[in-house]
Parts: sequence; structure tokens; C-alpha cells
Amino acid sequence: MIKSLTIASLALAVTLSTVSVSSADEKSHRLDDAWTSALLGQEPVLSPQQFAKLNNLAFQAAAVRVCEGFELDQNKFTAALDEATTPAKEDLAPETLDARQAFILIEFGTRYGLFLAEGEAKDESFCKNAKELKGKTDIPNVWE
Amino acid sequence: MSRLLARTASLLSLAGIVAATVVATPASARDHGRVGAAIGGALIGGAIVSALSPRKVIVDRNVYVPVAPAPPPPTDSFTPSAGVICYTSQRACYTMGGGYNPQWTWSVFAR
Repeated sequence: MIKSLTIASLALAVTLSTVSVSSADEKSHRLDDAWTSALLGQEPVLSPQQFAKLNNLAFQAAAVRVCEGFELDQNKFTAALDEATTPAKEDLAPETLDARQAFILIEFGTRYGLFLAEGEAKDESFCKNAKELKGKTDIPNVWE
Repeated sequence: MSRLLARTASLLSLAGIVAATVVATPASARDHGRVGAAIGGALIGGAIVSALSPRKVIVDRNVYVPVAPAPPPPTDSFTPSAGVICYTSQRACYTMGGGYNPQWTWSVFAR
């Protein structure tokens, strides 16, 4: 699962990392236009809370690439990803589960790529926020 | 001298009309001397010339009222605290003027 996620994410990230940063909202370093486009095609395979958790996981994975001093803990990452993507219903058909997993791969990869692009474009605040998260004990992270 | 120039100009104009008519006339019309086809061809030629000519645009102010500016794009952002901006559609928060903020994302959307 992790290996396939990584491969798919990297492929998407390479594409998305080339997105111009000129569309960044002045209010933040968010790539507004790219996020708008990405979210238009989002499949509702997760709950709103799970999408937020997926955002945090994708951010932490991107921080490993963008910022110094971060490494993923594979066990933590796997457990957090499973928790963030647990289906609401347990009796889904195998083919439905396969399709769902494919959609989650795409959703994670899209977020990972966009965070890579945002972080690489302006890493100071990006990495500062990552370091602050690492120092928190009340909010989970998946770094070593 | 001026009469000569005027006459030459008239001849050139006439030659132009004849040439335009011949060019615009279908071969079959030229072959058979059909006047209707020749005139039709000339009219088509004139229409083409007319279409290529700059045209004065007439704007009736009683019909063309000023168009209202497009409304701003919908935004789903909000500020839960000073220095933080969150986006509902993305389920994510950012530091105002900065990057993604995982702590606020967790507090606002993931709990």
C-alpha cells in the first residue's frame, strides 16, 4: 500500500511541482487556482474530517522532501493513513474497495504534489509550521 | 495635364471594375456570355470587397446599456483566528501570508 502510494504520489508530484506559483493567493502561499482545479475533481470517498487528516499526512510527507530534519516513520504513517481512510461502511464489495483505494491514491498524490509545489516555492513558513507541529504533543505526526 | 490624369484614373477604375467582374465571374458564365451570372459574380465580388473594408460601428446607446461587472468569484475562506486563514473546500488552514498550517487544519477540520 505504502509503496504504491509513494509511486503514484511521486508521479503526480513531478507534474504538479511544475505548477506556476504566480497564482498564489496574496493572503497565503496557497496555490489557489491549482487547488480549485484539483478539488473540482475530488471524489467524495472520505469524510470531511478524513480529508483534513489526509491533508496533514500529505503535508508531512512533503515536508520530508522540502525541509531539513524530517523523516517519515513508516509504521506511524501506515497507521495514520489507514485511520484516515477507513471506509464508513465495512461491507463494501471488493471491486468497490479497489476503486476507492485508487481514488484515495489520487487524492493523496494530488495533495502531496501541491504541498511540494507550495513548499518548494516558499519554504520558510512551510518548514516553520512543520517544525512547530513536530514540537506539539497534542497533535499527531508521522515523523521519526 | 490634370485632364490627362483624370482620364487615366477613370480608365484605370474602369479596368479595375472589368477585371473584378471577370475574376468574380464563374468560368461557365464567361464562356456562355450569361449576363445574369456576370452581374451576380460582380455583386459577390463587391460583397467581398465590402466585407474587407473597415466598417463604422454604430452603437445605439438606447439598446447597448453598460454591462455590470462580473461578480467576484465565490470564496470559501474564513479566519478562525488572527494570522490564520482556512479554506472549507480544501479542509485546510494556512498561516496568513505564509504556508500550510497543519495545527490549525487539525483543530478546525480534523477533530
